[in-house]
Amino acid sequence: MLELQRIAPLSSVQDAGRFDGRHLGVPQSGPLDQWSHAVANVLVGNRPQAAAIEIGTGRSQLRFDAPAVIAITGARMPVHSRGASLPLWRPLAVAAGTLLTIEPALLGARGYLAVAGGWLTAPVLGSRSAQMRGEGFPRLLRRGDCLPFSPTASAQWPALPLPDANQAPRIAPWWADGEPLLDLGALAALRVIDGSHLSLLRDRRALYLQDFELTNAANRMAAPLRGQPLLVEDAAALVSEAVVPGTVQLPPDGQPVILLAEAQTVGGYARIAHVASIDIARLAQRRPGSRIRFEPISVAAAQRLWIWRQERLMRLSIAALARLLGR
Amino acid sequence: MGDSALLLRFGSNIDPLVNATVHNAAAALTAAKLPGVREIAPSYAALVLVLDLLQLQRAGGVEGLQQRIRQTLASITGVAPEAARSVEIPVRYGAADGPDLGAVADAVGLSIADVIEVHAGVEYQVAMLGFLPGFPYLLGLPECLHIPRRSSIRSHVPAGSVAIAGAQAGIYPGDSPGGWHLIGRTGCRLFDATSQQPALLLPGDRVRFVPVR
Repeated sequence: MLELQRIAPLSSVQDAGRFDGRHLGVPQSGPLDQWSHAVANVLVGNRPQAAAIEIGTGRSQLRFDAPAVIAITGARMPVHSRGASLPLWRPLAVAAGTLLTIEPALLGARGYLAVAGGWLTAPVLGSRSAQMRGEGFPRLLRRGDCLPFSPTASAQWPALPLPDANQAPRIAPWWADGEPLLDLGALAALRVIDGSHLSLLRDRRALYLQDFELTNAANRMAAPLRGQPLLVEDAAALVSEAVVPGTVQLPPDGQPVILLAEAQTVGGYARIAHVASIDIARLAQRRPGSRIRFEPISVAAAQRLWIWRQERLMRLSIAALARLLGR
Repeated sequence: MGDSALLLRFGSNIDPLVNATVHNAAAALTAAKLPGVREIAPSYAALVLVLDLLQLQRAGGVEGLQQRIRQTLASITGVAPEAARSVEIPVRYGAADGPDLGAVADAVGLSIADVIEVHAGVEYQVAMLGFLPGFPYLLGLPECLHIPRRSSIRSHVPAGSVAIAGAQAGIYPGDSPGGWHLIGRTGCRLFDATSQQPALLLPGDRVRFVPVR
């Protein structure tokens, strides 16, 4: 078990998401930053879809009651145990009794903590992902929660033996260079595909020729932006239809809203654009107040980027397994 | 629709026949088990296919999928699917269960009893589920009950509230904010993720409201 002696607000268990319930109005959910989530998993020998903890902004204090192989990725969050700082994007073997402290991120918005074998909370509708809306789904994590994991899954890696009880964490001598894809330092340039209602904009250049600010109303459902309002010809007669994570909706106030993992499944506002899947992780690591700019991209180019990213993840996964097995 | 979903439109307005075509198409495409398609979900006049791009690439790419979709849809009609289920929803109208019933009656110029009779007198079609898990958007509200949504949004609408707004009718599956007119409430549980059948109503289902005391 992992005991959450303290847990940052808005933290939750997330696997790749729910793919059985869209026709029932069930949001997909899953990690906001799919890249960091997947890399954390493959670093500990998991499938990229395994359940990891999405850690929000704040301080967390976590206690392992059994030894575990873990990895932490995503935002630049200082992590330490018994006074020694621990690296991100790198497998760690921690002993039974380890108390891990994760500080608020210096850069970026959320981190991911994966354990070998995944966090074994109860799946609901085919997924362990938390979501806020709808009866019966897993909810946000709270202080005092205990998350089960499999100690045997952590004991299977010859190249990263588990330390004895109360010994210092063992740091793997290899790592994944996952941060560049998040582009944490720079103004976020998000590549967007034309939405079917882009033509309703009076001046579509206004979408690309200004910086938008991410407002503090952002949550796991949506990231509302603030900028010079985008004016539309007439969006009154639109029929509600599907929206997906990455869809950019334009409510009547002219301020775009980017839908995220937990977005509702249908929407009636103008859908002016869709963020390329590869860039959603970059958006997910932006804090309120960050500047965002849109750049046009074709569907085919965005699909090539996503396939490139998936293949890169697979290569990383194979390399990580080879290392863990000592080959 | 973006880089990882396809949207198929069957019309541009809210129409029961168009919507029936959508449900038939969704059923046919689901049965076809198209490689590279993770999920299919209907809405009023369109349906979405959520894609797994890597799997799709191995199965012949987007062009191959579009061809398979065209083949599958060649025989689709707008006739209501015979498999559509018929579900009765018991409703307690008015009073604390339907706080807007009186205002609705005043707004449309009918008596409260007439509003209930009209609302419970027709069969509805579940056009889609959305907004909240298990929230049914119902087609078929008689025109004499079409009134704009409330000018203010209630911060708390209790689970089971039976509501109308514009040409739409619906039922709130869980406590939530809401801007529709609440005319009654049902004891039926519309959604429970932990149940074998999470949603009481499915897209394409027929629904009748039955007044109870």
